[in-house]
Amino acid sequence: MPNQLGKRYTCGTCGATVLVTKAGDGGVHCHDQPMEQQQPKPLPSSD
Amino acid sequence: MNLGMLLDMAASGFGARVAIGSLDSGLTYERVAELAGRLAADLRDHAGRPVAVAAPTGLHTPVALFGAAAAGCSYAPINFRLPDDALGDLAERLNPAMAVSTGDNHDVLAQRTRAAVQQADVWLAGLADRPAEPFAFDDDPDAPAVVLYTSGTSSAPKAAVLRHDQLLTYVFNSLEFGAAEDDEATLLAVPPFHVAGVAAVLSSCYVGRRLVGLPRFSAEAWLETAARERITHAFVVPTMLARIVAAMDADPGRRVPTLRHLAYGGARMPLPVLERALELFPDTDFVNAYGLTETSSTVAVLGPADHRKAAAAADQPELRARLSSAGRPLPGIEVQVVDDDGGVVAVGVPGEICLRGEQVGGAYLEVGSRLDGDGWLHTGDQGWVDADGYLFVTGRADDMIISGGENIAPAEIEDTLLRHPAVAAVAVVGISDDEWGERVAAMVVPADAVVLDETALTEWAREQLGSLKAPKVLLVRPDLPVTPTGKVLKRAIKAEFDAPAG
Repeated sequence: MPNQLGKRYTCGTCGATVLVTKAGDGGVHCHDQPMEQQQPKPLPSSD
Repeated sequence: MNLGMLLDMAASGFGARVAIGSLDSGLTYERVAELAGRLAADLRDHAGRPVAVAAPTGLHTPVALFGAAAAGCSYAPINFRLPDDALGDLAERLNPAMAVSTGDNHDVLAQRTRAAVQQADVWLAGLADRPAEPFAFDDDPDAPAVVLYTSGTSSAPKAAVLRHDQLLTYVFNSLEFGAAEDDEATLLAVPPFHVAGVAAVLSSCYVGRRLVGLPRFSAEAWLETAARERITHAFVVPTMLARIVAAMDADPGRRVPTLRHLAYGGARMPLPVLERALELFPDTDFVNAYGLTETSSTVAVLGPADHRKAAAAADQPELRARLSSAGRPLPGIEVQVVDDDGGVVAVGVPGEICLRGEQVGGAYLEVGSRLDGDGWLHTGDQGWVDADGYLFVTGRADDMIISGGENIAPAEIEDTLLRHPAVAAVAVVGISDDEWGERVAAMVVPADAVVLDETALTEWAREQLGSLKAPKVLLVRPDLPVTPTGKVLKRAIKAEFDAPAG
């Protein structure tokens, strides 16, 4: 699955998180596994 | 990491959306990135030095912020309305590489700095006429990104320094990229030199929400702009909301049906103002945002659900009290309340609020870091945390009144006096008293067309508050003295009470 701009991915093994700042065709991997896409945490906008 | 990442992502994710200004005449994210790229190319040899911007929020604002950041310069918005001497002092301390003026303050910037000074509109038009430069940015997360003078309610302004990583932590921990619907627009009423003004530029870019600046606040201008621009989001300080509410009360035709979201902060919100605002904006989500210049803006929020629950709980005092809470800390923020000896206090006990986290700066130009050895920022704000983790900010430690050995917080007295129909605004301070140490004094702004009966008000206050907390002295004035960012200047009020009569 291609990287999506602005999405966050987490490693299920070590907890590392990445934020995609450039979209691309590649996938993100950590500890030999594809990283999992994080669900948005809804927080109210404060500014 | 560089703040430029936010603009780069916005330009590639939703570049055709309008970033700032009106839909027909504003700049898109793509266009802002083009212009910021040209500015960054100009500044490349000046990395490490500030770009001073002494002009109201305009189309140039995101260009200056992101262009300076990309070049490794810091963005330093300053109060453009200050008298020449004061503006010159602030500009000189920055030693900027470049300065942006309103035109009116051009000469003082040129005299007091060695910077190239540019009038905002002329400068932006000049950038627009130049050949393209790619938007590329520096990559030093520890570099200063923004320099902001603190409001200086209790001392001379200090220049707080916020780094790229600190500001980006705030954005990444609290927002989702591209989350705004394409019709959303934020009305920015606070000036660009307020930390909420800086945060709004960063946040609106990351979520993709159009930003509309209000060059000079008045309730009429705010309501008119909100209607014309179909504003969906806004941030106001309490003095602004008080005036907006009064203007809406005076004219039932003035409403903002498009407003979905109203955030407030910057000072303590008087409860009667908030309660009336909740009635006047029944379909709007309210958010109380607590934060400091030194913490990259917001560190705690009381969200819309909490507001609704508390507003509906008229007969449950504990839940109802949440309306005056600053809510719960953002992810990555730790809150600790300490006593005078620095010991951490128990739940519910008041003390000084201390904050820690990756978005907390706490460093100043000319001074360095003021964090303690464990990384805590001592805010100077008094408050407490309840059993569910809700933070209550009662005021500045300096504002606490000590009378007859009792600590008295001005907040409760102010909220009570504000419920009197003859009172439009009020500030309570302690003034020196030989017998009691201090005694309670109130500066009162009467409601429109009211001749204030001071004796009757004093008597009423004594019935409501008891003799210890009721003001012993009143001064009636047409306005309260406030800082340019809307904080009530208690020092100036105390000085008026202490001045000899006459």
